[in-house]
Formats: sequence, structure tokens, C-alpha cells
Amino acid sequence: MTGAEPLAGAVFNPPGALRIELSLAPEWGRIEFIRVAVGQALAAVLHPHDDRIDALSMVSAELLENALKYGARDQRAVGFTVERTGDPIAITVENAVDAASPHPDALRVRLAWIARFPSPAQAYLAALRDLYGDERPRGSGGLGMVRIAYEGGCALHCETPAVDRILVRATLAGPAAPRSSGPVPEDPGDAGERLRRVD
Amino acid sequence: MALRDLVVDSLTLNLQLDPERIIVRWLGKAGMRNPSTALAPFFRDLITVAEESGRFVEFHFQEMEHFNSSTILSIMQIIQTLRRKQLKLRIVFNAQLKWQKMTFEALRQFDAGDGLFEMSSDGS
Ligand SMILES: Nc1ncnc2c1ncn2[C@@H]1O[C@H](COP(=O)(O)OP(=O)(O)OP(=O)(O)O)[C@@H](O)[C@H]1O
Ligand SMILES: [Mg+2]
Repeated sequence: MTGAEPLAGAVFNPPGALRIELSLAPEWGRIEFIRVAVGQALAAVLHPHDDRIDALSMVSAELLENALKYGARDQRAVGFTVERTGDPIAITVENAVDAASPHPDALRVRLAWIARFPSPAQAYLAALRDLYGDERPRGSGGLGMVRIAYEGGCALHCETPAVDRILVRATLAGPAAPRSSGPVPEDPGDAGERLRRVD
Repeated sequence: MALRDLVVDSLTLNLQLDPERIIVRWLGKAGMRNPSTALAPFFRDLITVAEESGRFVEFHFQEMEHFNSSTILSIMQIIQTLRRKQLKLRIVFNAQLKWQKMTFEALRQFDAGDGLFEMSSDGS
């Protein structure tokens, strides 16, 4: 995944290739538009009933929520990319972080914690149990990344492209077996209905 | 105490009372930045009515399109509060939607076998 090819090259890509790249003003209300747009784009290149659509829509929203919640207070834009050149689909978010922000380290610690479990499902169950034992009011439950691993089925990666920036990528490997069957309906009809409009 | 439907952003919590149950149908999308603040007064009233009337609480999630992780935290918190108060909760979800199946099946671990927390699914 080079991330450098211009979109004009799209006609030379295999059918089903996808690239969405945008720079987002850090306003919460924009997240839902992207969540829905990612679902629509994936429905166009996968099968409209493919479970990866809901999974990656959720992943997009979780990553963007984090970029807005933990990104630098004065950041002007958050980078967001969805890319599918072969079977894996990668969703990447890049945001600025304040100097001395504790969040990049907190993120690394969380990813390492998830990786300690034999499976993402076990990590997710453990994350819920940790919350259940503790009724103190809290602002965040630490569920986002582990949910991306479990429900989103994604591998997680983070890096710091500059001292004041963080990049988080969730990659969903291609399906071992087709997850959907039957032809794509010519008229989206009921298949289109799942992709409800953003009001 | 009169319970009222809650509408916040794209989320609606629709209420229906029958002699035994307080049914709360969750409709739409829950992507709020601070769901616990938005949901707390509704949950507080819900608990009061459940305690006063002896009805049990039933959450229907089948028509939900999306939850963010902080809404899952709010749901975990209400599950705990109801249990602490010995109030019964039943959760109904749509097992044909893979994301709902994964989200809600994970909550089954909190079924202590005491009848206070039940999960059931449509379409499994
Ligand atoms: N894009 C990001 N930039 C900086 N820090 C981040 C970013 N994403 C996550 N983090 C850090 O990683 C932690 C874990 O994120 P995660 O989404 O798992 O949980 P959360 O956001 O704290 O809780 P929840 O998602 O359940 O509301 C965050 O609390 C934050 O400290
Ligand atoms: Mg989060």
C-alpha cells in the first residue's frame, strides 16, 4: 500500500479497488457522515450484504472519535484514508497531539494489552469484565481499540510520523471464504436499505 | 413519575409499558460524544419506575444501526446498576446482524444464572 498513486490510475486497478482520502475539520458531527460514506463505498465494491461493511463503518467512527477526543486541542484537520488494493482493507487516521500528551503512550499500552490475549474476543471479554467490576463514574471505558480488534476483526498498528503526530491504522485481512453469496442486485432495493441516509 | 421517550441526536429511546415490563426500544444511531450525560436522567427515571412498579426492564436493540464504544460503556453501567438494585433486565438483539451478535453475545458473561439478566435474540 503506497498511498501515493493518483486516483486517475483507478482504471488500471482491479475492480473492487478503493481509495478514500480526506482531510476532516475536527467537528464531531462530521464523523457520522464518514461512517455512512465508508459503508456506501464498501457496499459498492464488496457485496451489499458483506459483514465487513458494518465492521469497517464502525472502525472508521471509532478511529475518528479518538482522533477528535485525544488529538491536539488546536488541530486544524484529521487525516482519514480507506484503502483497498488487494484483499485487505486498511483504515488510517492521523491526528496532531499536544506536546507532552499522555495519549500516544496510553494508546501503545492499550495495543500491547490487547496483543497479550490469545484472541481479540478474549481481550474484549476481559475489557468488559474490567469495567463491570468498577462502578466509579468514568469518561471513557477503553473499549474502542479492543472493539476494533474484536468486532472489527482488524489488526491494529500505530506510529508517530512526527513528534506531534500520531497515525493509527486498522487493517482487515481478506475473507478466508466468501462471506456473501448471490449476485449483487441490479436495483439495490433491500440491499440499499441497510445504508440508511444521514438525516 | 411519568417516563418519557428520549430523543438525542439520531438516537430515540421509545417507551412502552405493559403490566409486567418497561420496554425500551432503542432506535437509530448512538454516536454521541458524551452518551452517559445524555442518558443518565432517562436511566434514573427508568430505575425509579421499575422500583416503584415492580416491572422488569426490557431493552430492544434490534433496530439499532450503530453504537459507539462510549454508548456500550453506558449500557454496561445500567446493567450494573439494575443488578445492584436487584431489578431484572432482559436484552433483545438481532442475531442476524453480525455486529449485534458480537456486541451482545459478549455481554452474556454477565448472566450470573440468577434470573436477573437475560439475553435473547430475534432471528438466530
Ligand atoms: N488518535 C489518537 N490520538 C491520541 N491518543 C489516542 C488516539 N486513539 C486512542 N488514543 C489513546 O488510547 C486510549 C485507548 O483508546 P480506546 O478507543 O481504546 O478507548 P477510549 O477512547 O479511552 O474509550 P472508549 O473508546 O471506550 O470511549 C485513549 O484513551 C487515548 O488515551
Ligand atoms: Mg475510543
